[in-house]
Amino acid sequence: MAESMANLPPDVNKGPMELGIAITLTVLALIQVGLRLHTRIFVSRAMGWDDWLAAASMVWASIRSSLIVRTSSHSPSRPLESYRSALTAYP
Amino acid sequence: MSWGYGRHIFYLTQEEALNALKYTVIAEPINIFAVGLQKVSIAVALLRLNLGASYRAIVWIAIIPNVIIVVFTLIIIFSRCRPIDLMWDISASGTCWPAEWNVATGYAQAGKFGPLREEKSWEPTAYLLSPYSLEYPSRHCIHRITDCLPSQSAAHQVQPMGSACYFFGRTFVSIQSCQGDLELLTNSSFSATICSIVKITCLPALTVTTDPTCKSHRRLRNGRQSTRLTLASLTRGWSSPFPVVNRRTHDRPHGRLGSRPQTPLRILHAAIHEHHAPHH
Repeated sequence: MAESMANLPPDVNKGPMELGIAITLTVLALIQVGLRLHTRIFVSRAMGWDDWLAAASMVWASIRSSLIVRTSSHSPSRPLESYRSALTAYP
Repeated sequence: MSWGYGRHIFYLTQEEALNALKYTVIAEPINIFAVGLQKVSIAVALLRLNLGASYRAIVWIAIIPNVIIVVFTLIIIFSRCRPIDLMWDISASGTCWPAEWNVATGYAQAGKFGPLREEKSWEPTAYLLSPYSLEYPSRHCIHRITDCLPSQSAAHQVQPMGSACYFFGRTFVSIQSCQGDLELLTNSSFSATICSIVKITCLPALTVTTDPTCKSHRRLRNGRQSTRLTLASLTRGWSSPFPVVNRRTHDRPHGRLGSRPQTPLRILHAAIHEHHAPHH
């Protein structure tokens, strides 16, 4: 048993890191694109195709980031015994 | 509720693993679409600079393959498995195209040559399809801009700055996984900021060019003066390579710029005001 346990992959939870990166970068990108659109709409009044495309890209990137946030594991590590089903489901 | 993304699949329950894979599979085409839109956005921004017919042709040559490869990649992803559940549920029954197709289009879309490295003849094609194909028009633009700077020392200061930002952005993108956001940040932010700062200093010298950050189709007038004043605001506090700028601001303390002490912001406002003032 001890030998088989030693061969298991390390139980490292990178969920919080993924979460932090996704949220931080999305917020920074939102600020950046927001400032760009504000400048183009209200200051220079010269919205172009590049701005519309950047805005559309930001929307899709936000959806993608929200999926990562939804999926990321932010729970602490749990005892291995609760994962017996994984051993049978994914031999 | 979370589905265990970030943990090894071995430690997930069956439900968690299924949902983690499902959301990851759904997120992939969304990310590809977002990155594709962003690449085209950069190319269209370059197109607005309007630096000549050959320049426009090069940018279009970069845009069209990028759009084609994004559409092709999305088609491959969505039609790979029937039923589509098979992409995340290994227990479902159905058929899938070979996984290599997905890998090849994914690599081509990301502009990486990993699986094609053995076949050197593929590299020019992969280059055309990749985001790196925008590098030439970008560099062309930077060269045109630096050529028109008033002094060689200025060009020497600007060129490494632009290159450093570009390579920093590309390296940053390649080492991280959140590619969509980083593309937006590095390409839209760092390089665009540097390009804007540099561009505004010498727009009058660019032939048949309108400033995309100003109102469309308005030709710049009195640009030389605004250029120098803008430079004054940007270079204040540095060891300025533009002595003419310092002479202007120091020689006319009670001129159009007013008698108040000149801060960079005031000089910039004066430049913008002067630029938009009606000319008779």
